[in-house]
Amino acid sequence: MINEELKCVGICKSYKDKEVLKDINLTIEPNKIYGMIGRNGAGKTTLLSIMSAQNPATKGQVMLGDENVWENSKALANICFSREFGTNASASNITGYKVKDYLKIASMLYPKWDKNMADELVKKFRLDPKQKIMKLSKGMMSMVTIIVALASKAEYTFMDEPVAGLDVIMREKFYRMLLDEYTETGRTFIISTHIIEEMADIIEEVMVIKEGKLLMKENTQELLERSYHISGKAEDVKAAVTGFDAYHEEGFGRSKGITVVLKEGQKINASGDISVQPVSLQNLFVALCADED
Amino acid sequence: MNEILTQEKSIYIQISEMIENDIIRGIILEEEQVPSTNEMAKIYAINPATAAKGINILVDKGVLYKKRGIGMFVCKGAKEMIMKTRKNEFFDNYIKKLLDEAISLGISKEELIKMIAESKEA
Amino acid sequence: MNIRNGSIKFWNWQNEKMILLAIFAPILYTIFINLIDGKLTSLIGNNLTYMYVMFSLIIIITYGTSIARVVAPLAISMGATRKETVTNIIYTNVALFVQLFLAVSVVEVIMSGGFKGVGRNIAIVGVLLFAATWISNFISGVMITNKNNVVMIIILVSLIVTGTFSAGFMAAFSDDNTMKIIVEISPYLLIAATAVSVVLYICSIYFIAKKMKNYEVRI
Repeated sequence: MINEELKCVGICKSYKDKEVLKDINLTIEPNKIYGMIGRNGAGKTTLLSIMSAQNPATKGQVMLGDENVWENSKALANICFSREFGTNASASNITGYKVKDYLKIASMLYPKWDKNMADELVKKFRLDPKQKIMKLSKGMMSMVTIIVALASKAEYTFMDEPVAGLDVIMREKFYRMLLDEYTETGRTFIISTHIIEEMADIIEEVMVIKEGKLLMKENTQELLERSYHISGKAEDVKAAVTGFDAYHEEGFGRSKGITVVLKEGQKINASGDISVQPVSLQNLFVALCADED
Repeated sequence: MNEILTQEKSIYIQISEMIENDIIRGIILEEEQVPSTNEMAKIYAINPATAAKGINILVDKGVLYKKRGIGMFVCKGAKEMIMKTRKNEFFDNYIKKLLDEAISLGISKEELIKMIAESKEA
Repeated sequence: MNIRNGSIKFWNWQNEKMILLAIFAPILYTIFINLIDGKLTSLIGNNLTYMYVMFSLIIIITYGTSIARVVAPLAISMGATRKETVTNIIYTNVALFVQLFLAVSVVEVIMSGGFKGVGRNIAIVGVLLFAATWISNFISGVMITNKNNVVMIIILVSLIVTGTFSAGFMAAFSDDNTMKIIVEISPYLLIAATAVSVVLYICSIYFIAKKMKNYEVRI
């Protein structure tokens, strides 16, 4: 089960008339850090929920190696999905627990739970273990989800918005903790986040979810090497981008700017008076997923 | 090293350039060990695979070599090699841009040469 | 390590909290009531037994609501399967029933000053606890569909039901005439009630299993 691939095969999810996930096919290779980015409502949490069998897919399977993950204790013993604590009334069922009790429960349910690590992290984060989760600040709630994710020692660990509410210094601490754990154990992580730029250098591969579909899944560095922002005189820009996948055209007057993602082997002909600039992952994401008004 | 990563170039290229810069400046000497991929990943808060890619470029170039079980070391003659390569790339990396900018501003070659001759730098 | 062991550990831990409550709450409640009344000694007699019965019933039925809202979703969110959750619910039913039944029986024996004549009372209590068990299962099953207003209605209904139960009990035990009727309850009636309860219990488990089949964790 360890060092086997986790695959989504034809995953579809609909509620009544609404299609939330549309035919997702992806393979998670072990020993990598993946990032999952997408707008609110794109389907990230639903997908992670389905991948950890907390939610049944309407169609398709999630396979760990050659076993279906659904209702499979053996497979689920290797998966941890630590999600954000909700703040609504029904979430209070769970957030009514004290921190120490919640972590105690996690220690009973995750077979590889590392109690020493959990205790250390509680101290490091300066959490009051006797405090009820609902009484914590948003940032502290995130710290609890981080503790569960890291101390679970699960081979496949998913985190949904792990840094929500954390200040920048705590966020950087978290990224270092994540890298430390990853370099030490080689666990596979999937981190879903809105803070794209901060995680861009840490995630080996990035998955972009747009409107229920997997828009792309690529090695982050390689993707960025093929992505450019081209700007200048409108006609020159238009000529330069013919044949390329182009996104998010902007501009005013005689100037124009557009983001392109080149396919293998494509090259930009830098003729004419155009600027060709590299783009950050965040720029690229905005270009890919911003609404076209 | 200890420079901040920018978004202008691929991270792994920046890593390899930073190591080369340190070799040129004598911060890391020949036959000395460079930080491991994991150490670099932690220093720069980047994915170890990216750090590894940067180091592999230097191995391919003959700047670094691997001592099994110990780590990455700077090859003998690396400093000279790097300076030579950079000299060759100097025209493409700096001169060409200089010429392009001068042309778009309407500065002639003669004016450019005069500027350089009269400059008080170096 | 088998995750099956892990999730049972969790359910057990949750259950034992309830058991502790069921054991100490009646005592505290009786003391509290008697302190208010001022007649510390005279009422402790029969009251304690039906305090235990009342609390046990209430706890069994309201625990049913927390299973659906809290325990099951939490276990599944941390990797338990729905199948083992149903198994754990059965385990919970048994654990709670046995421990509470023992507790009430012990109290009844102590209060009656011996084993004479307690058999019938204990049998009645057994049937009641068993009934509460499948009632709580049905409540769990309904609440598993994540509809919160139904939740409120169910909680209200169950509190009313247990309230009436306990009020009736207190009346019955304090009235000698009704005591005679209770003493007269035919063992055949008890056996029939048990048989019906067994059927209803099995139905309640099937109901829960059906509701759990495609359960989605929403926390």
